[in-house]
Amino acid sequence: MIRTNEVSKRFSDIQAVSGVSLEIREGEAFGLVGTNGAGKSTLLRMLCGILKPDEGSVLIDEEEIYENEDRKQEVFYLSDDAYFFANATPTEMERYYRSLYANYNSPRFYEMLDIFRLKKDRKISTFSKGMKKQLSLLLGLNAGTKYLLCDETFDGLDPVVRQSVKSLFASEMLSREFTPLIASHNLRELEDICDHVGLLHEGGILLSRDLEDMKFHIHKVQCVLSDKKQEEQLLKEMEVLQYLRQGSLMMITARGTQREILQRISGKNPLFCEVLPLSLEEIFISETEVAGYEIKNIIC
Amino acid sequence: MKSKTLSADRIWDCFKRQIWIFAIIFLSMLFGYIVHVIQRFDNWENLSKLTNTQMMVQYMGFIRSDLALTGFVILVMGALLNGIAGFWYLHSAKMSDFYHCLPIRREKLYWNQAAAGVLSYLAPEVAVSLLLLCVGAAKGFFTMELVGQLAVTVGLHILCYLLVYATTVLAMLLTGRALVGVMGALAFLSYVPMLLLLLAYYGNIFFTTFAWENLWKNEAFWLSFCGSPAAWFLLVENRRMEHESLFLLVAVGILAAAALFLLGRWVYKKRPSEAAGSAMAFAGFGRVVKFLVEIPAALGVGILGYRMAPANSRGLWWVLGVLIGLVLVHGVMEIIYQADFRKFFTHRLELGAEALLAAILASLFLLDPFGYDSYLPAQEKLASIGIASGALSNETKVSFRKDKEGNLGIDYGANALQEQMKLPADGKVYELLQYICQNRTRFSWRDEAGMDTPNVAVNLAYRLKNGRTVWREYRLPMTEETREELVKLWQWQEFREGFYCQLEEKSMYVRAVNWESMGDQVNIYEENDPARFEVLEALRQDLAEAPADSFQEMPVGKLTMDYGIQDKGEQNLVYLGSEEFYIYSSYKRTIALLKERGATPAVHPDPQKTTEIKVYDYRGERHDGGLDAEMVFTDRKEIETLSEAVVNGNCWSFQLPPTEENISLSIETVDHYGSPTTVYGQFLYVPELIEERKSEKQ
Repeated sequence: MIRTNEVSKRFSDIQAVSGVSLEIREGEAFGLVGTNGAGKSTLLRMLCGILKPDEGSVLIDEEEIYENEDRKQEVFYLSDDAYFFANATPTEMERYYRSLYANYNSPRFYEMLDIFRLKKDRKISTFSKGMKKQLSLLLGLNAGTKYLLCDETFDGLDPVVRQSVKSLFASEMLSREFTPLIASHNLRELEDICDHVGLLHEGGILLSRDLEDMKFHIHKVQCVLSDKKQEEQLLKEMEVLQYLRQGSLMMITARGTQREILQRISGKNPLFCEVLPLSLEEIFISETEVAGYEIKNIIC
Repeated sequence: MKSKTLSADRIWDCFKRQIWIFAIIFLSMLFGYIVHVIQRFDNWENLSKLTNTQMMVQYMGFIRSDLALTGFVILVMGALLNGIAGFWYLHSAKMSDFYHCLPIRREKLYWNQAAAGVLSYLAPEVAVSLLLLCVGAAKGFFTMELVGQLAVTVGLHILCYLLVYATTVLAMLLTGRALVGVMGALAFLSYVPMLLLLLAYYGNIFFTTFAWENLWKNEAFWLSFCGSPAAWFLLVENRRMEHESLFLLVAVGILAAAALFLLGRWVYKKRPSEAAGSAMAFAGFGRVVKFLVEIPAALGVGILGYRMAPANSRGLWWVLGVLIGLVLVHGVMEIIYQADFRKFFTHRLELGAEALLAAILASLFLLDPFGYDSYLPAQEKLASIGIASGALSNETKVSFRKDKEGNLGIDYGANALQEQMKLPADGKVYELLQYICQNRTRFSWRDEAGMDTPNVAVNLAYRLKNGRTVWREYRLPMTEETREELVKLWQWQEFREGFYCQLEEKSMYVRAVNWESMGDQVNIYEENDPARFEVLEALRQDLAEAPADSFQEMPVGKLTMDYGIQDKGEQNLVYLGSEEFYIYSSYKRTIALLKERGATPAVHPDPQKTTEIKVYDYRGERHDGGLDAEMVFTDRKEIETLSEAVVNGNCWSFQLPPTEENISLSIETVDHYGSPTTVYGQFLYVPELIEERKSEKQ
């Protein structure tokens, strides 16, 4: 498990991360979302032991990660701008990582290299941006580490490869102890892969929840009631996060299971009632508005 | 191979990425060592036609000197390249993230990278040196002494490489941007000698009695050059050439290299990864560096202002130079630190503090609060005094010295005699010291006009009873009083022994003796003449017995001794140097010997041998100081009259009778062998005959 306790990091007069406490359980895909400059990369760099926190601690399986070779064997960090040695080929990079990571899966790496149609002896400097991204993903996936920390990993990948990578993540999670942590500013990207999402804003964590939990307990419905008084009573009875009205059509985002919400609405004899699918983005907007943050403008 | 910190795989990984540096070093050595020595052998064999023994000496010299210096250039280049390229990744956020997220401790990263950097120099140095031995052996030159010398050269190269490399690495670790890192490395390599020379230069300008000997002859001053690895090597090589012990310097070098590597490890561990991209990895250190760079640089600019300004406004230009320099250097440093041209005038408080410190430092030189110039040790603290002055005589003087291996060396100049002279610190000598000290005048930038007035430089070495020696250089106005004080010096036997020093020792190395008087030039003793040693013995006895006032008479001629030494591989004596001795009329033994050998010592030219005297008179009122009148005298009677007033033009010292200025003459005469010759003379007084001829012409 990865755990951070009140972690802070400051770069001269910029507070990049401020008092972040997180828990990332083994076997779940964790999505870390936030705007540009929210502190995602800084947090990831602390999680993999590049940066030393000014305050607080970063624990990987209950041990500090910074300068801890054994714990670092369990973590692979995929930077948003991966570095490869000058004139290196995929083979040379694989050889280098293999000499460092005890559980490196070389056969699988070459297998995947073929699947992704990347030539093992071609100079990486001649690869496109997307190909480099794919290569770094393959190098990281096959390092055999428990945790894979990805910073804006899906940027630059074409939709087919993106989907393939998501599948790879899923299969890794099924086949071995594997916990990907994916930082992104794009909520839609994380929606279909993450089990748990943490929202980072201005260096602090706004919320950290299971995606299913959030989806199960928040719903959006649109309904038409015959009586104004009943409308007011319904809004009072429900834990409303967001309420909009278009003519006689009420659009309500409210906390509660689908059954609970529908029971309440049917008790008011609606003329029309429908439950709408709620995107992760909408959930976040609703949640953060409740938390007092005007997030509409900061989430892409 | 794997240890707790070092791993052969990791070192090889690092080495592979820097293999281009290895190639550069290897090729440089191949050309600098092997091709160079092959070409030398070719020259020795075919151009110089040296014997095998001579070639062996040359080959040994090549290893000791040429190879050492060629290697030095290569090692500095290699160390800079390795240090900068090896730790370049710390200056890039992308690269440092890559390395620092790997499951390797930073300590390991540091040591493996450092080991790769050392290996990429060590391997070619050892390999090419062995190849050099093979080249020598193929030519038939191989001895254990050669191997030993080469081993010392290689050992010193490696040690110097370690020092330069560790310093460069440290500079890279302490900085966060490549350009700043490179500048830092160059600054680390040159900072201490530059600072010492700057301070010494300030002393030289602002202290009237500043003497460079206080630095050159001070072991601590030289040792402080070890603050720069490059200067350390040059110091070691100098000592090696002088056959002096290298133990202390090598020990300092080894300790410094170990300390630098350990310091590097500590800095690497402490260095935050986020420092990549900042000018300095540690903000506090960055501030200290600013002060260390900006104040000396401003003082340096002040010197430029001082040197370029006219004499009467040098002080003002110096102050302006310091201020302008401070603002400029501060601005440049801010731009470098913040990578933004708009930050030129930021951190003004720091600028103010630096200006204050620069002012304090400058005032130490300007106001001399520690009394450098007024220094005169108490009489009871003085053991002896060494005195030297170019004004005492213009005889070429030398002193011999032997290094620790017994090799003879020779030093020229009045200051070389200072060490041989041990004047007692008695009352009369102390009175002279007080006179000199009290009459010191400031001839620095405050009174440059004074330099045009007659003056005399007197260098003193105060040897204290505690073993220390303090040097001071005075410049006195050349008044009658000064002359009288200095003339007293000849009364002291210790002064004469110092001025004409080591005569017994020197007599062993006399190679040839030449005599020169008014047209009388005789080779008194040919090279290898078995009797050549007697002349110095005669001189020594004459000097001891000569009355003090005899040194105030015009000399009757000048002896020139050529010294030589039997050197390795040479059949004949190798020329070492020459020394001159004025011969005074009181030197009875020497004059007798000279006469025996056919010389005719005389103060004035022999009118019988003189055929013509040509006088050049510059005493007129011509504005350009050019020739006023030229007169030729061929009449025997006229020549006789003039000859009485003419003395040797080549003898001069302040205690001799003054000669007429702005008038000179040439004499056509015949030398000892009957050949016509021209000699130049001076007039003790201007005979009336000249004035008459001049008025006739006008």
